[in-house]
Amino acid sequence: MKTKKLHKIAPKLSSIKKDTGFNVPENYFDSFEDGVFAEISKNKVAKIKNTNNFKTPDNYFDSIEDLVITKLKSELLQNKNNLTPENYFETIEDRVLSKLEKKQKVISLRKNTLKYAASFAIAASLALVFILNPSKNGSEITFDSLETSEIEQLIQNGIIEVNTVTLSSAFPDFDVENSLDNNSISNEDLLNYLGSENLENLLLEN
Amino acid sequence: MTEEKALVENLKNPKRQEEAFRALMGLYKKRLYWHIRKIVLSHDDADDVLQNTFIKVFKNIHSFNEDSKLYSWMYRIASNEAITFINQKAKKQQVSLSDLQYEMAENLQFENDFTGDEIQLLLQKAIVTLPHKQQLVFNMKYFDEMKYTEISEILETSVGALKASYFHAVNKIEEYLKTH
Repeated sequence: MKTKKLHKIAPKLSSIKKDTGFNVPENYFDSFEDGVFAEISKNKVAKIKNTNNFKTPDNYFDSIEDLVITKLKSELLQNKNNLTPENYFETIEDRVLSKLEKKQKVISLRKNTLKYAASFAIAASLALVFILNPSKNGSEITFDSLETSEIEQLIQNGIIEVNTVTLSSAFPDFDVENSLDNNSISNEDLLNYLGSENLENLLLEN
Repeated sequence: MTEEKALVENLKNPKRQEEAFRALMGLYKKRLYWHIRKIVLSHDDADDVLQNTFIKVFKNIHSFNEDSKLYSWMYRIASNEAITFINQKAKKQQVSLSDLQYEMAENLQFENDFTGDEIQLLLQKAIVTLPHKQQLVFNMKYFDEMKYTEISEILETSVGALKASYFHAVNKIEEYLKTH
């Protein structure tokens, strides 16, 4: 950038005398080289001084790993609090995974309610089926002999019909109508229940 | 063989090394000193950095790539040494680099080695507000009046980028001078 151009874009700067204002001590540059050489020879001396005059016992470096490992093991034994149970690390993955699986089985309150109502209905219907339709081959079919999945399959296929009539027939003493009636749940209970769940999720689920 | 090539050859020759090194320092000590001084500001610091620069040149002369110019290589070493020096100084004092440089510029008025007037002091304060690269470019162009091609070789930056950098630096400094 030429002086004229500089004056145009930076008039203040161009008006300053082009001098840093820095000074150096008198004769500084005259003896500078000697200073550097002195520094270099000082470094050389330092290098010589730094050469290793110490010795190690014979075969020291051949056995150092074993020495360290032995020391480490004895320290670990002394500090029992820090020890982990036997095979802890071998089984940690399995334990973590099984915990994860358990956590995945958590089901919402709403689903549980439906499940219990359904189980009750299934049990009642089965009792009715057993009473009204005794087995043809004579062998007794018990509740325990059926898997839950099989019962669910029977309901899904329409073989077992679950309604208040069949339930009432099976359990005359049990007031099925009122037990499963939505009106039996108070508004307050309903609001508490809805408050415990994310309403939006519930709507999406249904 | 050019003078510089002969110098480098002698620097690599153990028998002629000391003599060549003395000649090298004689040639460049002033230019490098002022380059460093403008970065570190104090004479004592500049002296330390200049000595370290020459020691580094001496130790690394065998790895010097003769395709580039010796003085560009030395300038590069000097710049790096000076910047490393002030970075370490800031770290030791646990302050930011910009704070350290501003404090150094502020203290110039109390130093015997600074005889600039009020406006020259203000200019130094303005320079330390610039980013590092702009400080270097401004000092090399404005005070040392180096060619962009020379600066380009030393800072390994394109001429276009250097021109832009200098232009920004000048504008920032002008603004600082107007407002302070």
